[in-house]
Amino acid sequence: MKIRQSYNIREFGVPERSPGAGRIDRRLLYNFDFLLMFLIIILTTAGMANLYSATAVTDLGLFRSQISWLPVCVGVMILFFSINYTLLEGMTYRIYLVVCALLLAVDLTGYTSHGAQRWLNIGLFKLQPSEFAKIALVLALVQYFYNNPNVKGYSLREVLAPLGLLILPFLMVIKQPDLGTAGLLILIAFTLFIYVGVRKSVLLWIAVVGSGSLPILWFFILKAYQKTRILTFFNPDKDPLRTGYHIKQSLIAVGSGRWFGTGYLKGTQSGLRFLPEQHTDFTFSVFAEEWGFVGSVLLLLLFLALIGRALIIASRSKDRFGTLLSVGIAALIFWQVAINVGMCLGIFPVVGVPLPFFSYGRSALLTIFISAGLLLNISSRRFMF
Amino acid sequence: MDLVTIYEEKLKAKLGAFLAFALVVFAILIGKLWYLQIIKGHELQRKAEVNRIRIHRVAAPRGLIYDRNHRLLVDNRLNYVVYFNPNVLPPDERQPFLEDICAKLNVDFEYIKKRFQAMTSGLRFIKIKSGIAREELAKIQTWDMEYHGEYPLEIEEETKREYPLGKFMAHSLGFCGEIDKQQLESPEYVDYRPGDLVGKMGIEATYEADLKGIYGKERFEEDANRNKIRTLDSVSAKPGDNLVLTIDVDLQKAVMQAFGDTAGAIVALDPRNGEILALLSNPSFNPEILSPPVDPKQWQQLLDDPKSPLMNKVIAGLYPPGSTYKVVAALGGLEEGTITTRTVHLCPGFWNFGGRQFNCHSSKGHGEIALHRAVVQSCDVFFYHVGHDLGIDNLAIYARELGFGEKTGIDIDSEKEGLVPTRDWKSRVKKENWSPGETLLCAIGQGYSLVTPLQMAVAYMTIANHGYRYRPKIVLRIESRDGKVVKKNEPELMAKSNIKEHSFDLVQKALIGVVNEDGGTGGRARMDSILVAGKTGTSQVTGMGKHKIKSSSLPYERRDHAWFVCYAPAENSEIVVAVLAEHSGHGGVVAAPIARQVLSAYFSIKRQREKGIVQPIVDIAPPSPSEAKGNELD
Repeated sequence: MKIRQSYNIREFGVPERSPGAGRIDRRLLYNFDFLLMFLIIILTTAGMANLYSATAVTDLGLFRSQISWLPVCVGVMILFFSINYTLLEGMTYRIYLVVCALLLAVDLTGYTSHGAQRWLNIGLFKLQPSEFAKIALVLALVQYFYNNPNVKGYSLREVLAPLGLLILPFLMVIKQPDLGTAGLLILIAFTLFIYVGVRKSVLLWIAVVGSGSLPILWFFILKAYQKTRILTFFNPDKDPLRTGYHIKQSLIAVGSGRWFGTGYLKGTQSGLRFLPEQHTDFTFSVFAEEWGFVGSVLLLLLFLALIGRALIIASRSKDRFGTLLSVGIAALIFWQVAINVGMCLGIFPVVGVPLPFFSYGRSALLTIFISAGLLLNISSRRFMF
Repeated sequence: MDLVTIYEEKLKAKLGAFLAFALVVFAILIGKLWYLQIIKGHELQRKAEVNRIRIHRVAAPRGLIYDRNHRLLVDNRLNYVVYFNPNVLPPDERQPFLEDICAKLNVDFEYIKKRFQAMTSGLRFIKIKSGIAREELAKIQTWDMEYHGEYPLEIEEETKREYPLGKFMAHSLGFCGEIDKQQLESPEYVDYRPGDLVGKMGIEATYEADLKGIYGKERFEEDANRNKIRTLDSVSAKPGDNLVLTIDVDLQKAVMQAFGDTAGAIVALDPRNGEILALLSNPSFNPEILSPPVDPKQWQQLLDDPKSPLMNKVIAGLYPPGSTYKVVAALGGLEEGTITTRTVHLCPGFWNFGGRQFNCHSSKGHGEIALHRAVVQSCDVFFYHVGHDLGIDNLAIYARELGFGEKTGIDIDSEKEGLVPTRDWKSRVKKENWSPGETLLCAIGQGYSLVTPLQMAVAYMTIANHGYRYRPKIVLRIESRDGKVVKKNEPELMAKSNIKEHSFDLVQKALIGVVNEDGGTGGRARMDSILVAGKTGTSQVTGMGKHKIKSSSLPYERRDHAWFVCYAPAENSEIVVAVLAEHSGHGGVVAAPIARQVLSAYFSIKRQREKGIVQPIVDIAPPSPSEAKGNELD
């Protein structure tokens, strides 16, 4: 994809690449972000333990496949940590295009489950490219805004290209259909737009076009079950035994956790399979029932710490690319946690957004470990320029 | 500062805003967590319990009923019942759900709706359908999947009562029916649900508490697909206790055969302890008809039948006692000294008293007659004099000595106490003064006196026992399911009469004479080997006549009732039989032969028992049509 260069590229320039890029040197270990690593380890542990509890009565095979996938994820995380992220700068669009190709492949030949065509069988495991689309989009947008810095705020013409970067995977994801991921792509992109600064007129235009396209979305793109889910969210008692059932059961599970929870592996609602999709969408409800208010708040604080850490990494980063990428990843994590937990707590429609480190899904886990690797990468290289 | 630095500084300045935004969103999430887990936690936890814990009521098998030789009279058959639990559904969804379920179960929705509205106070379970067989149940259970979460149907085992003997013992055994609204509201039925079976009549009603047993409870955990995961705790159902009756089925059968299709009542009891050996109220009904669901047409038919098949006439049928009541005047006269054995009255066939002619049943008259022959021949005129000399209030005292005018205390419900008239009673109830002529009528068992056949049997028991009156009882003992005796109904002495032994002797001799002497009205009850003592009675339904009309020429409902009460052997008697044949003629002609058949059956059964023979209950023959009862005897 050809990206039009901004008019003021000469004034801003692009920094020279660091000579030590690609090699692990002692400074890297010296500046290693142990706090971030600690957060990743503790969230991974909690996520795995919770997945065990959530699948203990349904299908422990899911847990086994997830935990056996963990070493691969860690390996990929180390890879994304050790390669100097500045090397990524030249590869971001290519990564983006590969992921878009995968999405196209899904649309053409993908594996269907739960009525949605999301998976690509690549022999070893079923790939869910829409998960990778999240990080790929972040990388591509960061690349664009890095290449095109703008102090005054981006004009409408200047955001057409990043909008294009968003719309391509968005359309392919929503066609699957995967409403959650599609929405997430928009949120991540808009977070970055607002972060880098767009003009008010752009926001206005987006608002007008966005709300104008809502009917199109509703009548031509959304499947009946997705519409019901959204309607159910606004009126969960209307059909308590079918779609509203998910939300209701989730609230019951969360509520019955009370102060300290029922105890690990003692969740009554998950243990007895009252919770739907308890290993994916409603994994937080399992956790909330078993660990109660105290545990749930602690978990949210851990996620908040992770997001906060990503923002601190952004602020400490010595280059704009690192800053933007950290913010993009922070947005990626933040929106997934907020939507997933909000969904479990009944303040967001059930749209199928995974909870990072917690929800079952190997592509999702790999994506979050790639993101974590990149954060560690940026953080540890903050003094290396 | 170059532009890059400005831009980068600007970017970094926005990080705080991002963090602030994240904080706000997380604060909202934590706020909702607080709301769900802390504020609503208790309520949601309860809902979680509702989700996973089901309480299943385990039906307790109702106690069985045996005869005195431990032959099964009432059995249970296992059925399933579907209940609707309205609490599960929001009010506006109850009716559509019920409609749907009724259509599926092939139940009349309007009927259920009516019950639902009638029983809806307190929202207890509503029975939708009972008598569901196992195969149908399996089908119903597959529907569970459609209503996961909270399931508004409850399935329970139920035992349906089976009365293999049918009409044969319907009045003593009674029947069970669905508990009615009135009962549900009374505190003693607090653990019943609408639709539960409850004894409605007879032993089933009286011994409800013993027969019912205690419902068990099973609390178990279910998963979302309503698979039972594990039982949390359970209280097993305690089966109802079994009853062993005093009834001997063989004698009951003999009674039924002897009685044929005559309307009336017959009771046989053991004077030594009050045990009811046989009890029949005719016509009877088939208790299966009254087991729910009751066909309203059949029910109405039973209610409208002029022969009142639903009434247990032995305990609730009130009849003028007729001449059987003369023992009261005889004992009273002897005790009060108004007569002795030598007291003689002239019977010309009538007595003009107070300007009115009181007839003797024998228009020829009995001539000069004393107590013994007056009883034997049932002379009315003699007893007019005895009654007149005693006065109504003395008559009442001796009537009560024999147990008239009060409940016998039998352990079956709805017993009537009858009526022993007194001066006081008449002024109180009828607001009229007693007229002396009425005393004469009362002395021969007409007029206001009303007795039940059981009271009559108890009165003659008192005579046979020379004053000892036991409470009649139909349940011999209560046994637990494993055969242990829970409670034994010991003989209970209700009263010991103050009447002198000698008076009883004289009356007893006279009663023996009734059956065994020439000219005795009860000759048809005479037995070859056993000395029977008894008394006939022919109680007039129409007013004591100035005109003597042959009973058989009257319409049925105005014909005389035939009484015969007897005990045997006269000394150390073992059995008292009271027979009342409604509107069927003369006691000595109609009732005495029936009593004789019962007595002979009793003694032949006794001989069998002494040899240790107890025949199993095979098909009990339906009552044979009554035989011609011979000529009228005066």
